[in-house]
Amino acid sequence: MSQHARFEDLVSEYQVMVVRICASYERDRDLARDLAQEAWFAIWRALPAYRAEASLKTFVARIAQFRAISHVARRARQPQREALSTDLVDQEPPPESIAMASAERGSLLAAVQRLPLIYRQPVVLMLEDFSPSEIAALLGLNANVVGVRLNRARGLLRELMQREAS
Amino acid sequence: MNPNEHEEWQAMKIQWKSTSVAEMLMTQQLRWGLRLRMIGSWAWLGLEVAALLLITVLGIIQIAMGQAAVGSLYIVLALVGVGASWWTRRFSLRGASGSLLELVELSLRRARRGIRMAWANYFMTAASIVWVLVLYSSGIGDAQAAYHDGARVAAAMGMFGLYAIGVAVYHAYARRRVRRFVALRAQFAARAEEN
Repeated sequence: MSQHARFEDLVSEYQVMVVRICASYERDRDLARDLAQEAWFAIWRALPAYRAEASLKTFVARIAQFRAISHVARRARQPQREALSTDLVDQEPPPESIAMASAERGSLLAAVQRLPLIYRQPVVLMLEDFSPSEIAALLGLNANVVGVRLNRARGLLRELMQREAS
Repeated sequence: MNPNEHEEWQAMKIQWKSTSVAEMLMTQQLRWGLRLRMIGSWAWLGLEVAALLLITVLGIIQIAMGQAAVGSLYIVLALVGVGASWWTRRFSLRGASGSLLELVELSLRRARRGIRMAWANYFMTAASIVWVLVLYSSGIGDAQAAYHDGARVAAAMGMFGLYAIGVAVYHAYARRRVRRFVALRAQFAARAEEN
Protein backbone atom coordinates (compact mmCIF):
# COMPACT_ATOMS: atom_id res chain seq x y z
CA MET A 1 0.00 0.00 0.00
CA SER A 2 1.40 3.42 -0.91
CA GLN A 3 2.00 5.99 1.79
CA HIS A 4 -0.71 8.17 0.26
CA ALA A 5 -3.35 5.43 0.42
CA ARG A 6 -2.27 4.48 3.92
CA PHE A 7 -2.55 8.07 5.03
CA GLU A 8 -6.01 8.40 3.52
CA ASP A 9 -7.12 5.32 5.44
CA LEU A 10 -5.74 6.80 8.63
CA VAL A 11 -7.53 10.08 8.06
CA SER A 12 -10.87 8.43 7.41
CA GLU A 13 -10.52 6.18 10.44
CA TYR A 14 -9.06 8.54 13.03
CA GLN A 15 -10.01 12.04 11.89
CA VAL A 16 -12.68 12.45 14.55
CA MET A 17 -10.35 11.19 17.27
CA VAL A 18 -7.63 13.67 16.25
CA VAL A 19 -10.09 16.57 16.19
CA ARG A 20 -11.41 15.58 19.62
CA ILE A 21 -7.90 15.38 21.05
CA CYS A 22 -7.04 18.79 19.58
CA ALA A 23 -10.30 20.30 20.82
CA SER A 24 -9.43 19.11 24.33
CA TYR A 25 -6.40 21.39 24.28
CA GLU A 26 -7.66 24.36 22.28
CA ARG A 27 -11.02 26.06 22.90
CA ASP A 28 -10.98 28.31 19.86
CA ARG A 29 -12.73 26.51 17.02
CA ASP A 30 -10.49 27.78 14.23
CA LEU A 31 -7.30 27.20 16.19
CA ALA A 32 -8.45 23.68 17.09
CA ARG A 33 -8.96 22.95 13.41
CA ASP A 34 -5.55 24.38 12.57
CA LEU A 35 -4.06 22.25 15.30
CA ALA A 36 -5.73 19.11 13.90
CA GLN A 37 -4.33 19.98 10.49
CA GLU A 38 -0.86 20.42 11.97
CA ALA A 39 -1.21 17.06 13.70
CA TRP A 40 -2.17 15.38 10.42
CA PHE A 41 0.81 16.99 8.71
CA ALA A 42 3.08 15.63 11.45
CA ILE A 43 1.48 12.19 11.07
CA TRP A 44 2.08 12.31 7.30
CA ARG A 45 5.73 13.15 7.87
CA ALA A 46 6.17 10.47 10.53
CA LEU A 47 4.33 7.74 8.65
CA PRO A 48 7.40 6.35 6.79
CA ALA A 49 9.06 5.82 10.19
CA TYR A 50 6.13 3.76 11.53
CA ARG A 51 7.48 0.31 12.49
CA ALA A 52 4.29 -1.34 13.77
CA GLU A 53 5.68 -1.49 17.30
CA ALA A 54 2.40 0.01 18.46
CA SER A 55 -1.02 0.05 16.81
CA LEU A 56 -1.75 2.70 14.19
CA LYS A 57 -4.30 4.21 16.54
CA THR A 58 -1.64 4.61 19.23
CA PHE A 59 0.76 6.05 16.65
CA VAL A 60 -1.81 8.65 15.52
CA ALA A 61 -2.93 9.49 19.07
CA ARG A 62 0.65 9.92 20.27
CA ILE A 63 1.49 12.40 17.52
CA ALA A 64 -1.78 14.28 18.00
CA GLN A 65 -1.10 14.49 21.75
CA PHE A 66 2.46 15.71 21.24
CA ARG A 67 1.26 18.34 18.78
CA ALA A 68 -1.44 19.47 21.16
CA ILE A 69 0.97 19.66 24.10
CA SER A 70 3.51 21.68 22.13
CA HIS A 71 0.64 23.92 21.02
CA VAL A 72 -0.34 24.48 24.68
CA ALA A 73 3.28 25.20 25.58
CA ARG A 74 3.62 27.63 22.67
CA ARG A 75 0.38 29.36 23.59
CA ALA A 76 1.40 29.68 27.22
CA ARG A 77 4.30 31.84 26.02
CA GLN A 78 1.97 34.08 24.06
CA PRO A 79 -0.46 36.71 25.46
CA GLN A 80 -4.03 35.40 25.90
CA ARG A 81 -6.65 36.41 23.39
CA GLU A 82 -10.25 35.45 22.68
CA ALA A 83 -11.46 35.91 19.13
CA LEU A 84 -15.08 36.76 18.50
CA SER A 85 -16.88 34.62 15.98
CA THR A 86 -17.23 36.21 12.55
CA ASP A 87 -18.25 33.33 10.31
CA LEU A 88 -20.85 31.34 12.21
CA VAL A 89 -23.18 31.05 9.24
CA ASP A 90 -20.56 29.45 7.05
CA GLN A 91 -20.02 26.59 9.47
CA GLU A 92 -22.02 23.45 9.08
CA PRO A 93 -24.18 23.01 12.15
CA PRO A 94 -24.98 19.48 13.27
CA PRO A 95 -28.52 18.07 13.29
CA GLU A 96 -30.87 19.66 15.75
CA SER A 97 -31.34 16.42 17.59
CA ILE A 98 -27.66 16.52 18.47
CA ALA A 99 -27.86 20.19 19.33
CA MET A 100 -30.69 19.63 21.80
CA ALA A 101 -28.42 17.47 23.92
CA SER A 102 -25.35 19.63 23.51
CA ALA A 103 -25.49 21.13 27.00
CA GLU A 104 -24.91 17.75 28.57
CA ARG A 105 -22.27 16.59 26.12
CA GLY A 106 -20.69 20.00 26.00
CA SER A 107 -20.13 19.94 29.69
CA LEU A 108 -17.85 16.90 29.35
CA LEU A 109 -15.59 18.50 26.75
CA ALA A 110 -15.67 21.79 28.68
CA ALA A 111 -14.75 19.90 31.86
CA VAL A 112 -11.93 18.04 30.08
CA GLN A 113 -10.61 21.37 28.77
CA ARG A 114 -10.51 22.69 32.33
CA LEU A 115 -8.54 19.76 33.73
CA PRO A 116 -4.89 20.39 34.62
CA LEU A 117 -2.61 19.10 31.87
CA ILE A 118 -1.30 16.13 33.86
CA TYR A 119 -4.85 14.81 34.21
CA ARG A 120 -6.11 15.90 30.81
CA GLN A 121 -3.55 13.80 28.91
CA PRO A 122 -4.56 10.40 30.35
CA VAL A 123 -8.26 11.31 30.42
CA VAL A 124 -8.41 12.19 26.73
CA LEU A 125 -6.71 8.91 25.84
CA MET A 126 -8.94 6.96 28.22
CA LEU A 127 -12.03 8.49 26.61
CA GLU A 128 -10.58 7.51 23.22
CA ASP A 129 -10.66 3.87 24.40
CA PHE A 130 -6.99 3.37 25.23
CA SER A 131 -6.36 1.02 28.16
CA PRO A 132 -4.46 2.33 31.22
CA SER A 133 -1.39 0.27 30.23
CA GLU A 134 -1.49 1.68 26.68
CA ILE A 135 -1.81 5.18 28.12
CA ALA A 136 1.18 4.52 30.37
CA ALA A 137 3.26 3.39 27.40
CA LEU A 138 2.06 6.26 25.25
CA LEU A 139 2.84 8.92 27.84
CA GLY A 140 6.00 7.25 29.08
CA LEU A 141 4.62 6.92 32.61
CA ASN A 142 4.39 4.19 35.18
CA ALA A 143 1.05 2.31 35.05
CA ASN A 144 0.41 3.09 38.73
CA VAL A 145 0.88 6.80 38.12
CA VAL A 146 -1.61 6.64 35.25
CA GLY A 147 -4.08 4.79 37.49
CA VAL A 148 -3.79 7.42 40.22
CA ARG A 149 -4.11 10.28 37.76
CA LEU A 150 -7.15 8.71 36.11
CA ASN A 151 -8.78 8.21 39.45
CA ARG A 152 -8.19 11.81 40.53
CA ALA A 153 -9.21 13.09 37.11
CA ARG A 154 -12.50 11.20 37.29
CA GLY A 155 -13.35 12.95 40.57
CA LEU A 156 -12.35 16.33 39.13
CA LEU A 157 -14.41 15.73 36.01
CA ARG A 158 -17.47 14.86 38.06
CA GLU A 159 -16.99 18.00 40.15
CA LEU A 160 -16.46 20.24 37.10
CA MET A 161 -19.49 18.84 35.29
CA GLN A 162 -21.69 19.32 38.35
CA ARG A 163 -20.48 22.90 38.67
CA GLU A 164 -21.19 23.47 34.98
CA ALA A 165 -24.68 22.07 35.34
CA SER A 166 -25.61 24.15 38.42
CA MET B 1 -10.74 -0.60 38.39
CA ASN B 2 -13.91 -1.38 40.33
CA PRO B 3 -17.26 -1.91 38.53
CA ASN B 4 -18.55 1.53 39.50
CA GLU B 5 -15.47 3.25 38.10
CA HIS B 6 -15.68 1.14 34.96
CA GLU B 7 -19.34 2.08 34.52
CA GLU B 8 -18.60 5.76 35.02
CA TRP B 9 -15.81 5.68 32.45
CA GLN B 10 -18.03 3.80 30.01
CA ALA B 11 -20.78 6.40 30.40
CA MET B 12 -18.27 9.20 29.82
CA LYS B 13 -16.80 7.43 26.80
CA ILE B 14 -20.25 7.18 25.20
CA GLN B 15 -20.84 10.85 25.92
CA TRP B 16 -17.37 11.73 24.59
CA LYS B 17 -17.81 9.81 21.35
CA SER B 18 -21.14 11.49 20.66
CA THR B 19 -19.59 14.94 21.00
CA SER B 20 -19.84 17.01 17.87
CA VAL B 21 -16.68 19.04 18.17
CA ALA B 22 -17.77 21.68 15.68
CA GLU B 23 -20.98 22.23 17.60
CA MET B 24 -19.22 22.29 20.94
CA LEU B 25 -16.68 24.84 19.82
CA MET B 26 -19.43 26.96 18.32
CA THR B 27 -21.32 26.81 21.63
CA GLN B 28 -18.23 27.96 23.50
CA GLN B 29 -17.66 30.85 21.13
CA LEU B 30 -21.26 31.95 21.48
CA ARG B 31 -20.95 31.80 25.24
CA TRP B 32 -17.83 33.93 25.18
CA GLY B 33 -19.42 36.35 22.75
CA LEU B 34 -22.48 36.64 24.96
CA ARG B 35 -20.39 37.19 28.08
CA LEU B 36 -18.42 39.95 26.39
CA ARG B 37 -21.60 41.56 25.09
CA MET B 38 -23.22 41.39 28.50
CA ILE B 39 -20.23 43.19 30.03
CA GLY B 40 -20.30 45.71 27.17
CA SER B 41 -24.01 46.24 27.69
CA TRP B 42 -23.55 46.94 31.41
CA ALA B 43 -20.67 49.30 30.68
CA TRP B 44 -22.79 51.18 28.14
CA LEU B 45 -25.69 51.38 30.61
CA GLY B 46 -23.24 52.81 33.17
CA LEU B 47 -22.19 55.51 30.69
CA GLU B 48 -25.83 56.32 29.91
CA VAL B 49 -26.71 56.63 33.60
CA ALA B 50 -23.66 58.82 34.24
CA ALA B 51 -24.51 61.09 31.29
CA LEU B 52 -28.16 61.40 32.29
CA LEU B 53 -27.22 62.14 35.90
CA LEU B 54 -24.80 64.82 34.72
CA ILE B 55 -27.49 66.46 32.59
CA THR B 56 -29.92 66.34 35.53
CA VAL B 57 -27.36 67.89 37.89
CA LEU B 58 -26.61 70.63 35.35
CA GLY B 59 -30.36 71.28 35.07
CA ILE B 60 -30.70 71.53 38.85
CA ILE B 61 -27.73 73.93 38.96
CA GLN B 62 -29.37 76.08 36.26
CA ILE B 63 -32.61 76.17 38.22
CA ALA B 64 -30.70 77.03 41.41
CA MET B 65 -29.00 79.88 39.52
CA GLY B 66 -32.41 81.26 38.62
CA GLN B 67 -32.49 79.96 35.02
CA ALA B 68 -35.66 77.92 35.48
CA ALA B 69 -36.48 77.68 31.74
CA VAL B 70 -32.99 76.48 30.79
CA GLY B 71 -32.88 74.12 33.77
CA SER B 72 -36.25 72.66 32.77
CA LEU B 73 -34.93 72.00 29.26
CA TYR B 74 -32.00 70.07 30.77
CA ILE B 75 -34.38 68.00 32.88
CA VAL B 76 -36.61 67.33 29.85
CA LEU B 77 -33.58 66.13 27.87
CA ALA B 78 -32.62 63.81 30.75
CA LEU B 79 -36.17 62.43 30.89
CA VAL B 80 -36.16 61.82 27.12
CA GLY B 81 -32.87 59.96 27.59
CA VAL B 82 -34.35 57.82 30.37
CA GLY B 83 -37.30 56.99 28.09
CA ALA B 84 -35.03 56.01 25.20
CA SER B 85 -32.90 53.85 27.50
CA TRP B 86 -35.99 52.11 28.90
CA TRP B 87 -37.34 51.53 25.39
CA THR B 88 -34.07 49.87 24.40
CA ARG B 89 -34.08 47.53 27.38
CA ARG B 90 -37.80 46.98 27.84
CA PHE B 91 -37.55 43.25 27.13
CA SER B 92 -35.40 41.27 29.49
CA LEU B 93 -32.99 38.82 27.94
CA ARG B 94 -33.59 35.40 29.43
CA GLY B 95 -30.60 33.20 30.21
CA ALA B 96 -29.70 30.18 28.12
CA SER B 97 -29.02 26.85 29.78
CA GLY B 98 -26.15 26.14 27.45
CA SER B 99 -27.68 24.32 24.50
CA LEU B 100 -26.57 25.65 21.16
CA LEU B 101 -30.13 26.45 20.05
CA GLU B 102 -30.82 28.52 23.14
CA LEU B 103 -27.52 30.33 22.77
CA VAL B 104 -28.32 31.15 19.14
CA GLU B 105 -31.74 32.42 20.22
CA LEU B 106 -30.22 34.53 22.99
CA SER B 107 -27.57 35.90 20.63
CA LEU B 108 -30.34 36.83 18.20
CA ARG B 109 -32.29 38.66 20.91
CA ARG B 110 -29.16 40.51 21.98
CA ALA B 111 -28.40 41.47 18.39
CA ARG B 112 -31.97 42.78 18.03
CA ARG B 113 -31.48 44.78 21.20
CA GLY B 114 -28.36 46.18 19.53
CA ILE B 115 -30.55 47.44 16.68
CA ARG B 116 -32.99 49.04 19.16
CA MET B 117 -30.00 50.61 20.89
CA ALA B 118 -28.88 52.10 17.58
CA TRP B 119 -32.36 53.56 16.95
CA ALA B 120 -32.48 54.96 20.50
CA ASN B 121 -29.11 56.61 19.90
CA TYR B 122 -30.26 58.12 16.58
CA PHE B 123 -33.29 59.46 18.43
CA MET B 124 -31.22 60.87 21.29
CA THR B 125 -28.79 62.48 18.84
CA ALA B 126 -31.71 64.12 17.03
CA ALA B 127 -33.27 65.17 20.36
CA SER B 128 -29.94 66.67 21.46
CA ILE B 129 -29.60 68.59 18.17
CA VAL B 130 -33.12 70.00 18.58
CA TRP B 131 -32.34 70.81 22.22
CA VAL B 132 -29.14 72.68 21.34
CA LEU B 133 -30.88 74.59 18.53
CA VAL B 134 -33.84 75.50 20.74
CA LEU B 135 -31.50 76.85 23.43
CA TYR B 136 -29.42 78.70 20.83
CA SER B 137 -32.26 80.27 18.90
CA SER B 138 -34.52 81.16 21.83
CA GLY B 139 -33.81 84.17 23.93
CA ILE B 140 -34.00 82.27 27.22
CA GLY B 141 -31.18 82.09 29.72
CA ASP B 142 -27.99 84.07 30.12
CA ALA B 143 -27.02 85.90 26.90
CA GLN B 144 -23.32 85.20 27.61
CA ALA B 145 -23.84 81.46 28.20
CA ALA B 146 -22.18 78.83 26.02
CA TYR B 147 -25.49 77.73 24.52
CA HIS B 148 -25.82 81.14 22.82
CA ASP B 149 -22.30 80.96 21.32
CA GLY B 150 -22.59 80.15 17.60
CA ALA B 151 -19.09 78.63 17.34
CA ARG B 152 -19.73 76.25 20.23
CA VAL B 153 -23.09 75.29 18.85
CA ALA B 154 -21.43 74.52 15.48
CA ALA B 155 -18.80 72.42 17.27
CA ALA B 156 -21.57 70.56 19.11
CA MET B 157 -23.29 69.88 15.77
CA GLY B 158 -20.03 68.46 14.39
CA MET B 159 -19.74 66.18 17.42
CA PHE B 160 -23.32 65.00 17.03
CA GLY B 161 -22.62 64.27 13.35
CA LEU B 162 -19.56 62.20 14.21
CA TYR B 163 -21.50 60.38 16.91
CA ALA B 164 -24.31 59.61 14.45
CA ILE B 165 -21.75 58.13 12.03
CA GLY B 166 -20.47 55.91 14.85
CA VAL B 167 -24.01 54.81 15.64
CA ALA B 168 -24.61 54.04 11.94
CA VAL B 169 -21.53 51.80 11.88
CA TYR B 170 -22.77 49.98 15.00
CA HIS B 171 -26.25 49.76 13.47
CA ALA B 172 -24.87 48.06 10.35
CA TYR B 173 -22.89 45.64 12.53
CA ALA B 174 -25.97 44.79 14.65
CA ARG B 175 -28.07 44.22 11.50
CA ARG B 176 -25.41 41.89 10.13
CA ARG B 177 -25.43 39.93 13.37
CA VAL B 178 -29.21 39.63 13.29
CA ARG B 179 -29.10 38.32 9.70
CA ARG B 180 -26.38 35.84 10.67
CA PHE B 181 -28.28 34.43 13.64
CA VAL B 182 -31.58 34.33 11.75
CA ALA B 183 -29.82 32.29 9.05
CA LEU B 184 -28.26 30.04 11.66
CA ARG B 185 -31.63 29.45 13.31
CA ALA B 186 -33.19 28.71 9.92
CA GLN B 187 -30.46 26.16 9.22
CA PHE B 188 -31.28 24.37 12.46
CA ALA B 189 -34.98 24.43 11.66
CA ALA B 190 -34.31 22.97 8.20
CA ARG B 191 -32.16 20.23 9.69
CA ALA B 192 -34.82 19.44 12.26
CA GLU B 193 -37.37 19.02 9.45
CA GLU B 194 -34.98 16.76 7.54
CA ASN B 195 -34.66 14.59 10.60
